[in-house]
Amino acid sequence: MSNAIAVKNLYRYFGPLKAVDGISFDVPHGSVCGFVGANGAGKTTTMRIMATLDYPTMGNVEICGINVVNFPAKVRSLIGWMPDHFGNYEHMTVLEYLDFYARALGYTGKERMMRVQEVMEFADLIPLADRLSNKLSKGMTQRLCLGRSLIHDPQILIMDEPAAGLDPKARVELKHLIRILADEGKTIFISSHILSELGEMCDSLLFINNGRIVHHGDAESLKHGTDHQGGYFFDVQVLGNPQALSDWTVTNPYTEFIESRKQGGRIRIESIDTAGRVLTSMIKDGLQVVEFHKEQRNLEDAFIDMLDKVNTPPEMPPSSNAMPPTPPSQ
Amino acid sequence: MSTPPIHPISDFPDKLNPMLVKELRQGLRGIGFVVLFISLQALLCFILLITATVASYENAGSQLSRVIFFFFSFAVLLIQPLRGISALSTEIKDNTIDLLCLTRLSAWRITYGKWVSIVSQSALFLTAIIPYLILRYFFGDMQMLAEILLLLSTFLLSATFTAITVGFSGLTSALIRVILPITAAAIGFMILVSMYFGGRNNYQEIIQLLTLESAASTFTFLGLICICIYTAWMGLDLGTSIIAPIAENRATLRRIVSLGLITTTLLVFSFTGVGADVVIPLCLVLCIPVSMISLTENSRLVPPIVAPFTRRGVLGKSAGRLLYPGRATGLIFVLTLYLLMHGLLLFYKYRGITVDPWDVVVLNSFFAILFFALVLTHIFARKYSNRIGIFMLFICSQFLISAIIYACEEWSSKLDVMPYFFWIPTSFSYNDNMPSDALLTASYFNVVLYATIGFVTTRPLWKHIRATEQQVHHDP
Repeated sequence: MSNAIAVKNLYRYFGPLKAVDGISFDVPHGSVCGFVGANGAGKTTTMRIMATLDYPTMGNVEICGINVVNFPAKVRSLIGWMPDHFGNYEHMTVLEYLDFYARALGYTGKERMMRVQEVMEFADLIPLADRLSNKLSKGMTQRLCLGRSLIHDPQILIMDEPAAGLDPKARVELKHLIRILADEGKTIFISSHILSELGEMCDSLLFINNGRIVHHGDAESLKHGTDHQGGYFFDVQVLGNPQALSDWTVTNPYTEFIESRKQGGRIRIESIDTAGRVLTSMIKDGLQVVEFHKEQRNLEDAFIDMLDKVNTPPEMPPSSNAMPPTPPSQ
Repeated sequence: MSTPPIHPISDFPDKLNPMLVKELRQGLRGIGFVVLFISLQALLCFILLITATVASYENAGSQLSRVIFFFFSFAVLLIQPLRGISALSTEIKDNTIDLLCLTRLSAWRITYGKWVSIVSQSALFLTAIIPYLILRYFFGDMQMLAEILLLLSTFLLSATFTAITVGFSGLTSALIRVILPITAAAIGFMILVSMYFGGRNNYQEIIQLLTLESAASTFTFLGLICICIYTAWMGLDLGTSIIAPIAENRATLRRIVSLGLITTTLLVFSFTGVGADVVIPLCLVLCIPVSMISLTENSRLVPPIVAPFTRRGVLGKSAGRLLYPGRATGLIFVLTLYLLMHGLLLFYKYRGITVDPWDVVVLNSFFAILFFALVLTHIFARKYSNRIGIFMLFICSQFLISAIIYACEEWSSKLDVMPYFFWIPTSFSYNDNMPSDALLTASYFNVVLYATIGFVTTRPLWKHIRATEQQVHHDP
């Protein structure tokens, strides 16, 4: 069975700017995939191409096996799209807004009201039914947008920064709704800057930088992974003078003192295999170690490390001599 | 506890275009429509009373008609079309056009719905002035049929102008989208004032024409209807093309309809013996929208567009050279129109009807202006996505530069430089001193020169067309 989303050698150039530079990835059916990258990394461009709203310069994107450029109408019936920002209509209530989109999606009569009722219940919009849609708070607007994108019960939901600008309460509510949708088996492709939240709800994470994918894997592997030089971080607490720990690391070749903490500090060990020996040495050298554990990196750290890794110039030039593609004229 | 059901909305029937429902929900509550509607009513009431009091008994009816038609025309020919300027641009600016495009609404239904909503509001104005026309009837001197036809013609023109502004509203260039219609509206206002209150008896002449007493006037009226429908469709199609995905082929139908209409017009007029001085300008008017759109279209082709042509073999591929979307094929299409009109001139010569060389110069210069703008757009706005806006600016620039050179020449009586600017196709209208043969040669030269450069600049696009055809051939 084909993947829900399949992106192959996707390029998108805006004049000399390479917004997307040859990315490829697959997202299986029913999974939640987080799309992470700095501003201008190419997230929105990629998502817009997936949503049939932009065209690739080169490459291929398929949604449930259907080409997004050749058959946009078929793809559109399969996806729900939540943009990062959009304006709401003046002089139109929440109910009228959803009713309009239900009409536009081809629902008529009782079925239309049923669909509107369902999404309003799901997104908790019923108390807001008579409120003007352009007078809602950011959180309410995002719930309205989510409701709109769900009217036709799409298989795949593409969400571009849905939590941007939301307060913590609205963010928790949105996360809750996304979790329900994921449990229902929908494929969700979501971009966000709040990496900790993505880590909690995503089955896989895609990191994009300067238009290229720099990582595709699950959050756990990143949290337990190494920094860009292959090192591991340990939290060490000692009794007595914490300065002793810092002094000790200077004399020990496999460790590096990173920062002081209340009762010790954070150290970096080059290899996980040497961790046991380091601890033994500390105790032998008279440090009264009361705590010694490997830190789980948060996703922000992992992301920064990942960027450092890709931005570090390679020692050897790449062996590939592939020429960049020539985009077709518009 | 289950959530109580929401109260159903039944303000508009299901069969209505959803865009129309949305626009009416918003439009009828918007301040713009309400203020204009009430102002018109108040103004008409006031002026009806004043005119009835002031005007003499003999001309009171005619004066009232002028006042009613002036204010109605002002509302539906100027204000209402101007409201169309923001129709698509607001959706594009607010990023809601994406949300609309992702529904089942086609690009055409979105644009059409926007247009219908403004036109339906204009229809409300139309119905609102009927009571005043009934009152006016009692003042006498009413030409019922002519005044009703004037009312309907005004409404038809309003719908056409609205379609043009709605179509233009998809352009990102504010210069073209806003300034051009506002300038047109200002000129339109002056025309309206001169028509209804000018010194010459323009109003009476129009009323006379609309009595449809002669075959010519009936023919002109029917021609007006045809041109309005065609122009309105073209305007809406322009807006549709801007927001439609590249897999949606708008070009083929547009070109077939235009080609059919222009060919029919040429045939009908040439067989009925109408002179080239009438047929050529008329056909050029019909050529304007389709040529401008065809020469500025996005040339990106995708297999679903090419496949229906390649399935029909060599014949289909040949037709594709004329009908595929994109400016490369657009150039071939516009050249076909040019040759078609030259065919008409040959037919006239065959029938022994003299054709004024000036008409040929006009014909040549019209196409040279288009080809020159195509070349300039390619050179200076290669990467610009909204080519039609730039293309129109280059056309306007040609007229402006010619006018400036001419003004300089007039200002300094010794200066005679206009012939040196023969390569600007718009200069033909100012070259009074140039011999007609030289003018004719220059006009042919311009067509050949700019069409050739156009071909050269669009060469890379042909590679893309052939590659897409091969892709379809290998993977049907």
